[in-house]
Amino acid sequence: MSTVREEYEPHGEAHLPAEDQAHPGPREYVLIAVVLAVITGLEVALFYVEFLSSTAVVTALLLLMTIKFALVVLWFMHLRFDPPVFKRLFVTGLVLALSVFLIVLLTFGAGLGPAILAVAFVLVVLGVLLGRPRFLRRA
Amino acid sequence: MASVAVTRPSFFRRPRATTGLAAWLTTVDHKRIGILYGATAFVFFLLGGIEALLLRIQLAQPNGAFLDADTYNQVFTMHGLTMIFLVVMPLSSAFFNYLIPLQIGARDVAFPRLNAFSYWVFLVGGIFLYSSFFLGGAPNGGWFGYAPLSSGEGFLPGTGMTYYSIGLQIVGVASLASAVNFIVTILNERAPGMSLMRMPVFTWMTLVVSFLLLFAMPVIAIALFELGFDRLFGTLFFNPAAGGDALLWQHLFWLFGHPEVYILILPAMGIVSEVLPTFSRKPLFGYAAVVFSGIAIGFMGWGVWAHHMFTTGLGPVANTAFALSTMFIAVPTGVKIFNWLGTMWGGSIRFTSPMLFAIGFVAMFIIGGLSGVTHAIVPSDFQQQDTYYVVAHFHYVLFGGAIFGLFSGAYYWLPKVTGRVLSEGLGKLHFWLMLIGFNLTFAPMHWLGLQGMPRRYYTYPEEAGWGFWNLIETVGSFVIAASILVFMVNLVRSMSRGREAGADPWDARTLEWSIPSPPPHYNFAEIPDVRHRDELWHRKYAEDERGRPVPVVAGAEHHDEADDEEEHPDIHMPDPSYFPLLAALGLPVIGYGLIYFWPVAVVGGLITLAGLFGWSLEPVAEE
Amino acid sequence: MAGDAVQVPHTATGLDNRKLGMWAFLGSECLFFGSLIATYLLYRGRSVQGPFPEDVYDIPYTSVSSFVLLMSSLTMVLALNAIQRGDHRRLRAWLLATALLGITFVGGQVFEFTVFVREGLTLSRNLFGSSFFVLTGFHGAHVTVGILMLLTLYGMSLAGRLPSERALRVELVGLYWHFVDIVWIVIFTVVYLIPS
Repeated sequence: MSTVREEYEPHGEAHLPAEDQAHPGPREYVLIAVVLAVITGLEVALFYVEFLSSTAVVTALLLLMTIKFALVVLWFMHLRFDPPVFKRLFVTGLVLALSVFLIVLLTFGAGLGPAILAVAFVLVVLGVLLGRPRFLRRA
Repeated sequence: MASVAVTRPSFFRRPRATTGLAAWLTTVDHKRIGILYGATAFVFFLLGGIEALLLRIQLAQPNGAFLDADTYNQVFTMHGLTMIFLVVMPLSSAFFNYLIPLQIGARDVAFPRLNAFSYWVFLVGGIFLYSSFFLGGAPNGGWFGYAPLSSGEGFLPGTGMTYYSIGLQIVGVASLASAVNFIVTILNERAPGMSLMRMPVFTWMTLVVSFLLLFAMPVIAIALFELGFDRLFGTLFFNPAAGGDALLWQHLFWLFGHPEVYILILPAMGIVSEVLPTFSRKPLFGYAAVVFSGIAIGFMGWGVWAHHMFTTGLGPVANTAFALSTMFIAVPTGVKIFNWLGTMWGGSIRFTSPMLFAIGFVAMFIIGGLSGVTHAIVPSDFQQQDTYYVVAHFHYVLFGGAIFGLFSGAYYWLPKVTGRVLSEGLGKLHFWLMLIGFNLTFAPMHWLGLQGMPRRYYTYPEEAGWGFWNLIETVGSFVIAASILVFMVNLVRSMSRGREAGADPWDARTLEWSIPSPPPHYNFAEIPDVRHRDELWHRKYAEDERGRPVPVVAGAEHHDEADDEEEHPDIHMPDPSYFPLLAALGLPVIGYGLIYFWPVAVVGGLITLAGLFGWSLEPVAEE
Repeated sequence: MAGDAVQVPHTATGLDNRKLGMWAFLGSECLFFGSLIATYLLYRGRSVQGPFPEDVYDIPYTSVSSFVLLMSSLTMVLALNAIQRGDHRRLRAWLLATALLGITFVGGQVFEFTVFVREGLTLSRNLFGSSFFVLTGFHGAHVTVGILMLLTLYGMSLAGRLPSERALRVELVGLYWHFVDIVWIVIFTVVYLIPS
């Protein structure tokens, strides 16, 4: 389709992808992968620890999972660098899934208190990492 | 995008036919695909309508013996499945396909081959579902297929519900593909100047519907997989004996099912939002409010699903929460209705057939909306659950709403498609017959329901005293059938004897009326430069000092028409392809294989895979 | 993106159709896997007969295969980086590495399934079996599709049909591949590590 458009100026609410700027290189990618590997090691270690309460373990596991998730999405999938439309599409699906299934599990009740807290927790962490609210950005 | 050299084995050379069967089988033209969608959905509409008549004949008298219980179950299930998945959704798709590129000033959709794929998948999915009638019995567990009735061994023996799980899965693939396609098309293919808030409301509603489809189809896909696996492979998802929970099905189904009702109604709302301004000769009242209430409905549609489950014992907290959210969703709907009324208020109204159907839509939809609000009240819903009151409600919104809206769109845009206007006399006859027949059929269901007549029962005893109104309903259903015949006569007659439509038969407002009817295959000889909402209107009319429209000096309008019949070798349209058809053909083969003999499923998978490989390897100019 | 100039799309948002479509599709996939994971969570601890998760899970084994899939995301992104720099030899090496890691993962999953079945856990044994196999099976199917796409890209590159102007194709497959990886990140934690 793109062949049919001559002298066509992009317009609308989004902007041209500024993809050339600050794309990470192999060095950053390997670094991210090392972090991911370390976190995975931590996760597996947590599985075996005996001295923490199970709530603490679950919280830690979810936190680590969310960080891994966000690292892959933000760096390997370039959401950190790409125009925000992609992020909005993806996050809409993600948040929708988390919230509706949270409600579904809620209606089944019984013993789901921790699970619900967990999903809420994941949502918050994800929101912070993916949304990168202004207070987290360097001035 | 630079094209690759085309000297490749002939297998990958793209087909060139522009006429005849091969052209239609390989077409990627959104207008042709729209016509295919419309024609196919209309055939299914006739089938679903015949099923409805069978049901009504059976219920016309107490102790009816026209259909036996099992046949009745199959017929009412297929009636529901057909009307929802094979009629209203694809008819809406027909309008999306034909109109969206025209309304946003594009030459085609973003992914023309994916578009063809959607259509073929829908077609084969529909045929697959209907083939079950000849292969041991159609689905017979209701359109919502409640588990474990639908999943458990021995509850509904035979392959009917297996066809249901696979058939809807196939049709769902089509919806998902077209959702992606239209989201990208509407965001990306807009002509210069066509900002989001200049888009026609129909385009907006298509965008909202596409998002609803995008997020709702995967949920029903999983529900159907779990149901199908329970039936085919002995999984235990919905098996209470093994701890499985029947409510899981209901949650997954209605998580899809409630967005689905907005998927069905929003396109009709979009159509009406185009028709009412045109025939009131006024811009849409409160454009932004109509758009945002459409978006709000799309969002809130995700928070009301459990109102289908009030009687399942969710508990008072959940029931109250969902009752409240359900009442809230009436607010954006009400906003739309008042905006439509505001559009007509003080306008110079022309009561043409499209306008009549649009007004009929508004009136009938209000009735259906109000009875819907009564279901939101939990104690009231306890009384109404599974009675004909519910049947009355959803026919007022889906027939009185969606179908009236779609017929409004048909009378309005068919002149663009065929180049000829439908007869006004027959159109009005159609409208009044349908309105009267519709109300005769469905209004009495309200009181029969409140008297306690249950849904889905194949007969009822004489002592219940429901005979009179049931007879009236049956009469009404035949009046509807007559009105559809009038429409068919009108359509066929208009093809040969209809008045030539010209580019703009209605003095309309949006871009699709700026090009000839039927449009050339490239749509716009020159991509329009959009300066206004209701672009065409502003090209035709200026405003005098009192805000009344004054025609712009003759000659300034419709200059595009001069390009009619001209060849434009510089315009490159996407090439046809037979791979979407091939990829689609594999899916029902997989389905039959799963039911009867699994190696066949492997063959089906290979067919689809071959189609997809050919698709990605054939030379592309357009991607 | 270096060498991507030809691809600058002429669209209303300035974004490429295919990339936008892919992200929309991935948003949809969130609901797909969300439904499966919700089913698994709902049925956690509801099986009326064994084997139960703690009877069959082999955490060290699964950790290794999770690690394999995680590293395939690295090789994938390096492949994209290679084609964007016009380094087609490296592109093919990383594509092949990604595919091989993926095959290792799926092979490991097939082996894991075989072991589970031998220990008496089948689709129709209990709710755990049903929800576990269907969830991880759909994930494995996604990985398999990804492998097919990677091998197709590899073949195209060998045939000289994947010039740098078409780096977007690699990027699209990459997005899909990373998505499948993050789904596994969630499954690994929620299904395997968090005790029931």
